[in-house]
Amino acid sequence: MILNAILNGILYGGILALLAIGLNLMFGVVQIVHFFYGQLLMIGLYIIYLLVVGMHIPFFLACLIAVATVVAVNLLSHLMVVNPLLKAPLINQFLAMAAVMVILENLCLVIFGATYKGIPIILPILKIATIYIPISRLIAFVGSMFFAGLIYLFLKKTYIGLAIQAVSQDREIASFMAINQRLIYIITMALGAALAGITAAFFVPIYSVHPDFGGPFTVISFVIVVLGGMGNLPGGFLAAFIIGTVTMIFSTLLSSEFGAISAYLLFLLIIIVRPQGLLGIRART
Amino acid sequence: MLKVENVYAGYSEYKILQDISMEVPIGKTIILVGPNGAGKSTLLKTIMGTAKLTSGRIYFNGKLLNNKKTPEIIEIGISIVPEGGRLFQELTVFDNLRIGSYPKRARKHYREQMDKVFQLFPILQSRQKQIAGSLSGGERQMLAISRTLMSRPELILLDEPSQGLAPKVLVTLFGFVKEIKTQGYSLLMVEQNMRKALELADYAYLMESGCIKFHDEKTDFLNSYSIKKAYLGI
Amino acid sequence: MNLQRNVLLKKSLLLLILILIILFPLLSPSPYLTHISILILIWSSISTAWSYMGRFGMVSLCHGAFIGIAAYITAILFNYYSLIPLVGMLIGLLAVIVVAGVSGYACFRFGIIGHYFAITTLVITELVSLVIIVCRDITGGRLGYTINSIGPLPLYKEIIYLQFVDKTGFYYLALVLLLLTLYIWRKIDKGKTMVGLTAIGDDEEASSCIGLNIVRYKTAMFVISAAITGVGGILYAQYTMYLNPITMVGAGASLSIVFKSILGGMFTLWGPTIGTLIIIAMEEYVRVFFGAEYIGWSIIGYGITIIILIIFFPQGIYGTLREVLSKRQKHRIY
Repeated sequence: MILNAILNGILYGGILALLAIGLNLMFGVVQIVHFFYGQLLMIGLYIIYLLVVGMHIPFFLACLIAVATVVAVNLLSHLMVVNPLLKAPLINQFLAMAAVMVILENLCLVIFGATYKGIPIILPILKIATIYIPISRLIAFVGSMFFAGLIYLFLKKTYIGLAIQAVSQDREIASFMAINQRLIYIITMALGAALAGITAAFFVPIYSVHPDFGGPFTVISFVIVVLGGMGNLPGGFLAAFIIGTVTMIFSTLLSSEFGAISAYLLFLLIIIVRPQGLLGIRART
Repeated sequence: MLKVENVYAGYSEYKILQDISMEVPIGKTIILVGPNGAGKSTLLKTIMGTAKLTSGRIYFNGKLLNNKKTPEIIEIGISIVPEGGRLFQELTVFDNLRIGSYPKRARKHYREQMDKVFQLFPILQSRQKQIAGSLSGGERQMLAISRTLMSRPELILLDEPSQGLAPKVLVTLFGFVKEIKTQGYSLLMVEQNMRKALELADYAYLMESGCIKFHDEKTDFLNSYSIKKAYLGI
Repeated sequence: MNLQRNVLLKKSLLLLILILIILFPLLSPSPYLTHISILILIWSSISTAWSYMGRFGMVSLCHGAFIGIAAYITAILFNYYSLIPLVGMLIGLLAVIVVAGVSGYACFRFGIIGHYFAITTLVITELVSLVIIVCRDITGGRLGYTINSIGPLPLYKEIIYLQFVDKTGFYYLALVLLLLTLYIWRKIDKGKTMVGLTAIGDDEEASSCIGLNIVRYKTAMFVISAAITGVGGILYAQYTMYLNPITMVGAGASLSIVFKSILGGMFTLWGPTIGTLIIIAMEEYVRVFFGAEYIGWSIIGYGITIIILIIFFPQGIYGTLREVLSKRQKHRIY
């Protein structure tokens, strides 16, 4: 049974890893703590629900539209909320983004209502010996790893990818490389949002969406990112698997609430012992 | 090639540069010397567009550069080796070079340029995959200069290239600069180490408190009494 | 001469308002109005207490946790062990002080500041909320927890049980709490600690070099802020006779406290109170005229307002007004 939990935990961690990449990119480049990231996930799910269940649009097309919508929402917030506050004290950015989070949640509440909305896509569960692996989670895991790989290649092999790395390491000198900072910000925000949208697509057969759906994912994503060291992509990647596994083990043994509790306790423990995260360097706030 | 006319510039209301006029002819090496705080680095930054020009004009090959954005200025053909090198510490040597060829004018030719750089600095080729942060001081400066070369500039600005380097390494460094000079690049170099810098110079300017106090051809400059006075009288 | 008269005018106006507020319940207002006033008084206290931290750059998102810890402990001790809430409250507050003290000290001692502090407090509040949910046999979990009603009692007994049939009792308790909170705000503002804490607010890393005193200041501030929040929470729970981990304890609850504070302006004495007043008034207006389903819109409304404020008027509504008015005054004198 533990083995089952660990395996499912690794699958879960892989999915979370994609979210962690999105957050880390945005933090590294734009230097913002993206407080409504989980809500982007929620919007993605709602859009897919609306399109598939409400308008009978084919699933894959709906997913594409959802990703595009989520990117649009994030870019809009970037232009209207984040950009004006880039030079303001960090607390202002943080609170403004918290406000956006509240707005998005309540927008979904008034538009869709408080009940859970699910899309009836049921996938089988694989049984190997005593191990149960839901195919939906397996697909999500493989898909997440695929996109994580794409991001890796993008960052390492393309000019824009290199530019993103450069800006996150030394933005002043990056401009001496003829890199247009504004453009890189926009691309990064789009990328981060796209990852949330893609994760939403994978979540469809796993979760039902409701206005409070985003909150726990925002928190767990932050836990992962801080644990791995903010802005540290490999760190976040590793931390995702750790948190995913821990959460799954306690979820299976006790209940889903205990899964979250264990992850939060682990976080609190590590942040005290090693504030820079597992692999992180001391960040200058 | 580069013409600076009556430029006043600074970072806020306080203007650091006061009525600066100078020029860099094609293919020549121009040195800016002077004490700390004279505004030498600020002049470089103004040319690159990171410091604000409040009055005056800067021309490059006839084009007006005033307050253009930095990426544009690089695309026009001016690149800078910043103070301290400022490499991307977590990227490899290879990636640092590659990002140097980010400007559109340089992208197509990056392989060619990289071969040139490796010819000039074979050590970099052997250390391609190494993380920039793990290089020695001299190697870092080498990489910094090479990165700038990757952008295929016509004019290269160097901001205190010798800073923080051991004396032994200094000799090698100035050897590199000389090599680049012979390759035909125009150089505008800010240096504290006046003696060594003047060996390479075609022309030199002395700056002090935001103004150009004195300028002359290399040979006369060295012997000038004013120089000695300026330096001793600080 | 003019200046003196202005100050006198201002002071007598304030006194008049204070007298009105004190006499308010005796003017037999509608129960609804009293209800709103009590809510405003309680949440103003909590928001102002939050601003003790917020104004110095320490964004705490775990004030909901303090509400939860204090209120639940008091309620549970009463329901299960018949421990009178007046005493139970002390135990609840003790728990809050311990939690705030320990977590505050841990954070400040190990340099967990800025974003990291905010996220850590977020995790703490969610943790407390989850623990309450998980202990559903005792706390009722997500469904919430009701406090046993005592029934009509003589006044002195009402105080002990913190249950008043007539809302007036709650009104005055809440008023006292708010006045106390404002008084403490004043004390902090004028005290020696102000200089140190402003330094912290401006540059946490630089001031961390000053030494252990900073850690002590911050922790003390955190504990005081938490304790007042705890009292407010207990009062709120006793007033509504109902507790719920989602609406009172988690991230959402904590954020709503933050928003009330910054809407009015967290750097001023009256800012959080004004912010609370505006938000509660707006919510009630929407509830009354449009129905409870439309509360979401009012929240969206003040969310947008907050964003606009943060970008253009970071001092908050009251704070900006004050600045504008004081600039005008300066012109008049000359």
